[in-house]
Amino acid sequence: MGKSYAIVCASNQNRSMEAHHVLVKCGFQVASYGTGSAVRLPGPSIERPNIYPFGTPYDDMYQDLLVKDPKLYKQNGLLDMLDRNRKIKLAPEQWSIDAKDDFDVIISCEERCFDVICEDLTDRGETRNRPVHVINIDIKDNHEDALLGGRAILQLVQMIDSERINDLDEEIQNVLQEWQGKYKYEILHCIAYF
Amino acid sequence: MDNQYVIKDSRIIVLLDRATDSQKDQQLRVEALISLQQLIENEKQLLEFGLLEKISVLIKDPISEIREWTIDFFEWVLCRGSVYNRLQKKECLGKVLPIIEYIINFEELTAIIKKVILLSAGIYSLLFERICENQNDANSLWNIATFIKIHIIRFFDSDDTKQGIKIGAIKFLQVVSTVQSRHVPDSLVRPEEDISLSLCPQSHPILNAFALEKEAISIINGLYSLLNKESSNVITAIINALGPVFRSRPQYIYPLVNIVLKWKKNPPTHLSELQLRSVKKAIKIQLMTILRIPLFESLPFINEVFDAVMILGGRNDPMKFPRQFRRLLYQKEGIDDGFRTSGQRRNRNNGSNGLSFDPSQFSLPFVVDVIHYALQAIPQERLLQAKQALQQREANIATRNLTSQSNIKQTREERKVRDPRLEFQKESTPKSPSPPPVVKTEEEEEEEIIFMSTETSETLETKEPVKPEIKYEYDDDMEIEEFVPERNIEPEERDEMEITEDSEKIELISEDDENEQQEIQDQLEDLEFESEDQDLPPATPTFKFQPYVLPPPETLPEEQCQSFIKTVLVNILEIESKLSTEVKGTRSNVVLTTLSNGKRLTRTQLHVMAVRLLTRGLEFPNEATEKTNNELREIVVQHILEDFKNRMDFALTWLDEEWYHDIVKQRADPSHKSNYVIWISRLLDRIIPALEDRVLSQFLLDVPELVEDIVDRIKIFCNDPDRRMLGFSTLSELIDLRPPARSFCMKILLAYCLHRDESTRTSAITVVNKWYPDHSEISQTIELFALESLRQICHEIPPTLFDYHYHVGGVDDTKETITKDDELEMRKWAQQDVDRHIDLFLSLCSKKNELFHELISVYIQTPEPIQVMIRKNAQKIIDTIGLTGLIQLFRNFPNGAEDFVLKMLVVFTNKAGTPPSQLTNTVKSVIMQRNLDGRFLFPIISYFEKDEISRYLPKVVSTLDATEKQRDIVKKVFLKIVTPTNGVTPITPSELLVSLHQMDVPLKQSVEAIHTCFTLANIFNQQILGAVLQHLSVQSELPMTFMRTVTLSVRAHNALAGFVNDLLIRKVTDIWKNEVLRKGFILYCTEFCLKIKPNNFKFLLQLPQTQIQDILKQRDQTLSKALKRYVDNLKPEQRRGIPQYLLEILETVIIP
Repeated sequence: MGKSYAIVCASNQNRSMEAHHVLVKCGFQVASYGTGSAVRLPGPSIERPNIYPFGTPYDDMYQDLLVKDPKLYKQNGLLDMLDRNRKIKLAPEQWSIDAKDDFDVIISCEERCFDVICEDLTDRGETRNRPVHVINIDIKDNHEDALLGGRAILQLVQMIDSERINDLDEEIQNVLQEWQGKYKYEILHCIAYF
Repeated sequence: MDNQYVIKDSRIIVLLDRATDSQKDQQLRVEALISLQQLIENEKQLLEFGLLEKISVLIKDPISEIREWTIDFFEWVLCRGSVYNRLQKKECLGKVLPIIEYIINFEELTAIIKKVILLSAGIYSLLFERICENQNDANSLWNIATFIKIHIIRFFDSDDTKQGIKIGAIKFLQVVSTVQSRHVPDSLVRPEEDISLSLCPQSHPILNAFALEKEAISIINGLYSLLNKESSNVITAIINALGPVFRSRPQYIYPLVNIVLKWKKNPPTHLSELQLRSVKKAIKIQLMTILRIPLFESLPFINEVFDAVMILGGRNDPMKFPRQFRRLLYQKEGIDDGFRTSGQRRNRNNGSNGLSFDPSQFSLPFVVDVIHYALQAIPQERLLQAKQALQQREANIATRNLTSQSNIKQTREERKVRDPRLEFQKESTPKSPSPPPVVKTEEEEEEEIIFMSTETSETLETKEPVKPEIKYEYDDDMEIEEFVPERNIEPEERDEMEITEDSEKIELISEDDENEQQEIQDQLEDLEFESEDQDLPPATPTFKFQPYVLPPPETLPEEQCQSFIKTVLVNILEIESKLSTEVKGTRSNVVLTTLSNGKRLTRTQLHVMAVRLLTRGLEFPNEATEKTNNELREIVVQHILEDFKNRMDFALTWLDEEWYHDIVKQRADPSHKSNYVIWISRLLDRIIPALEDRVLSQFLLDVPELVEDIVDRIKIFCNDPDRRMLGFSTLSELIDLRPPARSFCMKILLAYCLHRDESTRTSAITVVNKWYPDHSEISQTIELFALESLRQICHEIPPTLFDYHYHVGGVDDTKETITKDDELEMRKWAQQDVDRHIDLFLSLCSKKNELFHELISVYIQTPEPIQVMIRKNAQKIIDTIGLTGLIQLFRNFPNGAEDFVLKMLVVFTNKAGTPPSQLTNTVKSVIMQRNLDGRFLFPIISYFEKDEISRYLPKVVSTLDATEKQRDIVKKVFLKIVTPTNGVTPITPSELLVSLHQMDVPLKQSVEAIHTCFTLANIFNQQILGAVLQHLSVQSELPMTFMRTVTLSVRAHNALAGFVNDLLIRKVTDIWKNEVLRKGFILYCTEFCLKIKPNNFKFLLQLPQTQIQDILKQRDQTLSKALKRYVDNLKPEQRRGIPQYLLEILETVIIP
């Protein structure tokens, strides 16, 4: 049985969904989450973001922005992003509430999310006795970096999943080192438990 | 074993056959197993223990997938699925443990071993619970479990154990160490959810709680020791696995913190940059979480946790800290003062102390050189001073008597036992094998160069010479309780401080015993501030570099003892007062210093130390000591008084301790006099005069016990107009929050509800009202009191006034004079007495109208003068009961309360304008029912309809009793009736006057009423009177009062005479039919001819003969005489018009 992956960013829109997108396309078993308190998308100005609760379907957001200012949101890429997302899953999911399954590997896209995941796993009590690799890759939250980050994550997942890795626990440090040789991302890794 | 078990379900038989058939394809077998699991999931009853047995055979299958499935299956059954309940799960442990044991022994595949270890982690708490319950097979189960445990722990011994296995093993050990330690009250886990050592009965035949606990500690120690050698995988796994442990067993946090603190200087070198970063991050996340948990704020080492987070890079994201730590962060970054947290200090010390090197490797000349350089840095004069002190001390010690040696030993032991901190020390660091070494100042080093531990001090006591070598006791295995010495070896800094302190102390003590005192003081101070385990400094030898001999112990004279103690206390208080100003606004448990054993001395602990010294420290039962004790307490009181607000904490700690101590003493000796009450009273007596804010409330709320005498002092506040509200609110808070003090606080507060001064009284009543009627218990007291005070009005004399003054020590001068002065006055009720007895009641009434009848019943029992006084409160009463109450009152009032009710009605109508119809209707019906007199109509009659007015008018008129007062009232009523309200006049003046003529009342009152009308000359003017007379004259029967009205009208308005006279002439025959009218007419005629129009007899002469004759026959001849004189004076031609009969009559009249 293949490994299961979770990709986590702040709003489960851009970075995690980009990675979700590419991983799903390559046939991996993947879920994606956000660790923020709500989904925040850029608005007409910096102090007026569009805020949605987690669970609001991507399609609803798409329609909402389409009504508000189609030109602006087309131009800044939000509509394209939401369009992609709504084809992948229904709605953004929140890590602490929606992530019910045990994953083998969790990849976060920002240090803040890494903190939240580790804390949350401890909070859950670690009663299920399932170890999990938590990896953080710092990706900037914009479309270009998300695209590059998504590819890098795919590469990492492919390395982890490759045939030559028998025992991930044993090999993970080598894999990360090798991967970091190719991509210059700041990373963190730890073992936590469900 | 249950091999004979027969499977009944055919589907299971098929699937299991397929799965166990090794001839079949591997894929098919695995699929069969998956189907089997699904089947069981759907039909849970299928999974009988026998089936479990059959499935367990599969762990020996050559195909690894099938073995893996088997483990997964058991994990699902025992840890995840809901196939079994907890009881069933416990029962099937007997089947599962052998499987785990088998796999751990014989399995080779890492993945499967890892899984089975994790399965063990999942069932360990279940297993422990079962063993605790101690069923028949408990012993064998526990043996297997112990085997498994030992085996798993051994995985860490081998260097080539796979990472995956270690990661699983860490999880297992996490569970073991949690289960095998006790539940901690200050943890985030609820006791009922916490499977811990606390479940294990003390005398369990299999489990040895103590050994298990020890094992848990060694497991944690072992895991921590891995931090310095394992890969980041294992380290982060350990950290994250311990996260939940920290929440349930916070005691395990400190060792981690300690490791991190050490990393500041010596970071682990075996990790790559990425790994180190990941490890630090993982630790930081866990420690940061601890900082954010409010429950852990009070952990004794929370500041170290903070320091550790800082070392791990917490400085970079201050916003992640909870507020109090953020403040600490900014503070640390900004200021670098003497109050630096211990963590930093300790680290610095750590380095400078050179824990990383062995001091004994230095050659003696080198050490001497270092000391030499250090001494050079000290100013010459200070050095001399210190040297002198030292020399004197040496001389004294040398002459001391050896026999007193045993005494000092005893005292020391006593002190150790009595010192509560030492008990704490024992509890919290049970496994600390030896106390920390203590580094002496170089002053002592010069002579001793000894680092002492308890063992060495013991050897000292047994008079063995101490080896003059540098010895550092440090045990590597002690990581968990590792000690970091506090004192700094750096000579400059240390020295400065020490010598300054010494010189100050020298000034403080008397000349005689300067040196002895100095020494004892040093000893005491060391005890208080430096080290808990450090004993008195060893004796100074008489010769340098000679083997040491124990100092000859000595007994101090008691007097001296007392004076030392006093000095010690003063010193502690001095430190506390310095702190009060310097650390104001920071957290109260700010750390003052770190003791040599790693414990911190906080300000609170300083307080505790001072007060325990005061209460329990000096127990010698003789008078001199008691005197000293009192002096000491007096010092403390003075200290508190200097800055009460900021030293309140200290005061409370002290009083708590006194109180507690009293209880302990009283238990042993019932005649013990309570120090607590004496001293809280003395303290209060001195602070109260100056206090102006809520500090007092807070203080009284926090003191351990309140007695009546203490609370009595609040009266001082209540009597002071500026602080009155403060007094009341203090009482109120005490009543609310201190039920035991409620009764006497309530007594005072209620007494103020009867206070003579109205504003004081009102304030008190307002305070009392807040509990009424919602607080059932207090409400009842208030209500009873209010009713009692109300009923006291029925007493002949007012009750004695409450003593509103606080009298220190019960001496009471003022009361005496007051009583004498007011004695006479007090014997009768005055208006203000009645008022104050009613006020509280009324305020309750406004919330609970049912009470009102009590007032009425009191009213009808009281004598008239008191009733008048009660009635004077009408406005207040009306305000209380309102319209509804008034209507209610009208319907139900008892006999005797008429005046009261009337007064209420009058007050209500005077204020309210047009009374609501509801009220007037009630009043009307009650007047009818109870036949009340006309007075009840006065307030409302003007609001009646015309018909009703006419109907009720007789009642009004019948109140006339020929008194001026009553007439006046009626006059006002008339005026009100005829004055238009809202543009409508209920009845016109002429209608009113006409009605007055026609009503059925005694003539006298009718006349009085008419007279009253005439006093309203503005209203009853000529025109109206004319109309009235006209109206009356056309009635079929003239009213009896008709002639009266005629006379009055003409008397008032002469101009009416012509009209009236014509009218009379027309009616004269009718008038003559009625005697009253006839007399009236004659009177009118007389008055008219004599007074109104003197000598105008035209009217008289127009009358018919009968009438003229009748008039002239009056006994009073004045009119006849006047007429005769008139006729006599007529000219002859005029006389001819006079009828003959008249002339004849006049003939008989004689004019003198």
